[in-house]
Amino acid sequence: MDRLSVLKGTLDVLVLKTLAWGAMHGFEITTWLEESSKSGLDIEDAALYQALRRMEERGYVEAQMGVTENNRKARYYKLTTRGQEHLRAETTRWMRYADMVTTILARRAPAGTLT
Amino acid sequence: MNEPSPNSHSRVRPGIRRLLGLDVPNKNSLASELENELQMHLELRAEQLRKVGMSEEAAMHQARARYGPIDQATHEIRNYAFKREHHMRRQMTIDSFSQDIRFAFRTLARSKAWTAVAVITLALGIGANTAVFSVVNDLILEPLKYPDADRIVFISRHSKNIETVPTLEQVHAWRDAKSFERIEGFISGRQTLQLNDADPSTAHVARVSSNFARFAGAKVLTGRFLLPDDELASAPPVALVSEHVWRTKLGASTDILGKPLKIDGKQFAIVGVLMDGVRIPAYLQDAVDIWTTLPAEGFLGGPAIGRLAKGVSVEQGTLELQNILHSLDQVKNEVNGSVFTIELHSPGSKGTSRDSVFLLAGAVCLLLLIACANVAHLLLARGAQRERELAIRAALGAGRARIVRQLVTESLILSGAGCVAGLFFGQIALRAIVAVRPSDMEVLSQVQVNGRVLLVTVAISIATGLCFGLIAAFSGRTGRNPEVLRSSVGSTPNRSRNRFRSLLVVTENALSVVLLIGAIMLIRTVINLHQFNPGFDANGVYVQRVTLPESRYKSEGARELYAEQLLQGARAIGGVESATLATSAPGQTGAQIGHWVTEGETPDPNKQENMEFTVVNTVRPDYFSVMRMPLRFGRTFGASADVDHERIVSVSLAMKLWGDSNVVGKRFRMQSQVTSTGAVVWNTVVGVTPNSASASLMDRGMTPMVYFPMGRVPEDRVSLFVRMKSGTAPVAELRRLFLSIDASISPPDVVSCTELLLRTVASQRFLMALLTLFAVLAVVLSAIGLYGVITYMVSQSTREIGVRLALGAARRDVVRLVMQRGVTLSFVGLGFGLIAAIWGARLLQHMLFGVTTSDPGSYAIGATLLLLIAIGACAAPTLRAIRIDPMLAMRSE
Repeated sequence: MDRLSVLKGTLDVLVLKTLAWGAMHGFEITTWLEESSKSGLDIEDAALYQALRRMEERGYVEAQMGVTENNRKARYYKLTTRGQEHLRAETTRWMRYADMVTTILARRAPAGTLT
Repeated sequence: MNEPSPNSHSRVRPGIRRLLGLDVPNKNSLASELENELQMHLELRAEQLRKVGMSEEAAMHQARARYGPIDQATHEIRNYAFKREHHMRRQMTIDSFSQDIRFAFRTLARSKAWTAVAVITLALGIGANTAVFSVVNDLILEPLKYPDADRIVFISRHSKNIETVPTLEQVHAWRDAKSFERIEGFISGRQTLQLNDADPSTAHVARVSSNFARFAGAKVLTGRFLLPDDELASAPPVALVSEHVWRTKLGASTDILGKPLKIDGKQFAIVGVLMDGVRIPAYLQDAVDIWTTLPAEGFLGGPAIGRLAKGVSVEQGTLELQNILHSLDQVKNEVNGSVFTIELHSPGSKGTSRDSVFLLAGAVCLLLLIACANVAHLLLARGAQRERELAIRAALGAGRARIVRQLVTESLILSGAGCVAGLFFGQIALRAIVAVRPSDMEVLSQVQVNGRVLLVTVAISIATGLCFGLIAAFSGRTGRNPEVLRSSVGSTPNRSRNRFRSLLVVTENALSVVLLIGAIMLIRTVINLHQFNPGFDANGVYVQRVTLPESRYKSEGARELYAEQLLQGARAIGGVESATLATSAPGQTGAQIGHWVTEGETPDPNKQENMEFTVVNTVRPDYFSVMRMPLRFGRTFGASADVDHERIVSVSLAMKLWGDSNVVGKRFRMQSQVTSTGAVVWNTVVGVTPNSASASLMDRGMTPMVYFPMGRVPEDRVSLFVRMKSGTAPVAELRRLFLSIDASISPPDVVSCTELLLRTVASQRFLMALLTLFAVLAVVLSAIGLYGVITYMVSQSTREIGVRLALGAARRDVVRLVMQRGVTLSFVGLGFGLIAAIWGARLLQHMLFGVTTSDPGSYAIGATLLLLIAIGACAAPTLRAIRIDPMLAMRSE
């Protein structure tokens, strides 16, 4: 299966969804996304960190210093209340959008029409 | 996935961290955090790749490739960190300020009584200041509000202490003076105004030159100002109405131009509306209602006003005007004029009202000082109570600057509230001042709280806020003392702070005594004035004054008829015992200035020291019997043909001219009293009256007086004196009488003679009322201050008192311990206050009557009052002290 590059604007919501499972550091988020998409998504690492910073600025996520299993200091990202609200809203929007696109694309052409 | 264990940075909320002065993450830490994150990502990615079999080097390479351009990423990180930090710092500043403010509000709200006392104290001080300085500003600093006000001078003529106004003729001659850009003169007075067909009313009419509007910066709202052509004798009479009259009496109608109005029965055409707020330096400083052209000659209604040319000194201007006046006098061969000197002074720098207003300003400054001292007390007392709180905060790491800022914020909020409340109180106070204004300060009715005063007030309140905030912050130890934390009682008494508080109490007491003694002197003055025998029986006498319009009462016949009708009509009113006519009424007397010559004395034209200010009244022969003022010697005016040269003098004038009181038959004259042929005209004294306070109660009747006979024909000014059998004045009947004789003259007010006499001392009463108010406020404030200090002292030494009581001290000793301190402080304050009062009382010298500035009674009363109040203020804390339960006090540790 080809690896899909992430559609513009959807990375943020994917990251938020990831963080809905709990606080994670940057690399954890990457691996989680890769595993969840069964490596079907091609996410550039730099873009992920840019998204994190963008959302930190907007107040969707919040960073705290923490310690990893291997006793390394790492920046842990956590969903804020605002981030949860944003995620909910974006999820609904995305679902409706995807449904609509799917409906349109799946529609069969009427008989006799040239495609 | 494991839970992060947040470090200290995130455990404590940023607001609290800031409050306690802990570290807040800085820019470097954010940038390095993000760089670490990048590094960690690359390492973890490489490790992941190694696990699937890549070589160490290839894995690292691959990790970097998957990340994207590293240099660019680092750059982005740094930018981001910088931006965030900048934003955070700004947010932090805003946060900490709003936090300071919220915290201050919470703290202030926690002790509501304390806050209320502080705010009210400040409000009283600031409010009284706002009100009084609005008056000072209006009356003294910018009384006229003309353009180039710094070059405006008043021009008056002086001889000895007598000030007179120049004549129009002199103003015309002065207009050539090079030292002045322009000199203006005007005539003003109360005249009868008739608009439309409405009832006549009295209006303040100002007669000015066509140049006046430009000179005074006055704006015409509708129509035009007076033109040079209007000033020609042949021109039709025109007038402008004031904005006030236009709005209230003409309904702000736009088509009033050309409409007629009548002044004293003479018709004028309205040519315009002049904006309000234009003043003329008249002695009766009413707002002007009607503006019209100057007559050809006459005395001005006040000093002339000039605008000095740029760079010309007052001395140069005076000299030039003096020289012009001299040459004018030589041409006219007037002896009288030459004895006058010209005096130029800035507007508002003269007059009795100025003295009173300055006195008030001084008094109100003392009041503000006391209020400030009181607030300082309050903040200090509170500072002591809060020492523990501050110590805890300091121990938790709050910096001194942070605590100082918090205290200053609190004080600023306090003074801000005081300022707002003070402005509110100031408005009320200003209205009160306006309500009790004396009649010679009519101009006060227009005083508003003005912008400049507002600014000064705000500045004062901010300065007091800062000052007290800093006093509170730096007095004592601002919580840098670990001792405080250990002691559960709070703080131990602080010697330097106590000394400062004592100093404040002493100052407050001293200032209060000064105000108190001043107020007592004025109260005694007013009591003396009320009890003073004016030399005649004023009870039951009512006075009405009218001015007969020149246009219709030019002929002697018309005036005689008017006078006769008035007298007959008045005598016919029920309850009227007797009635008489005179030219002047008490307080509104005419005067003659000149040199008296007695028969047998060689007149000396160069003798100028004998310039006399003599009060003159022209009276009917029965004036003395109606006023119940029996003559000491001689008789009243007779019916002989030579009655015109008969005079009745007061004892004071007789003593002055002849050194004797029985001077019936002696002859005298004004030096200038010469007939057209050059023959001297002598006047014969036919009677001598006792001294009477006809001009003003303040002069105690000592001003020399001369009475002229009023024949059948009165002058244009007539005062009707009516003595009632009992009860009050028949106001309605008198009003009808005046209207029935001449409906075009507005009926004058009916005023009791007693009231007229009291009006002559209205300034004293005004000053007394306000100074008494200030003194009461001052005493109350300083009593609160003393109470605060003693209460604090008692609360600080509860344990000490408890121990003493437990060891067998009598309650009496406790009373002595507490009282001693309060009374000692008051005594010290009293001592300084008395010295200051002796010095300050000199300012009151001209306002006092029957009381000297060194009157021991006033000082004794003031001192006793203050001590009693001090003892009263100490009573409550003393009671609290003797009720201390020794067991409780000692266990309270």
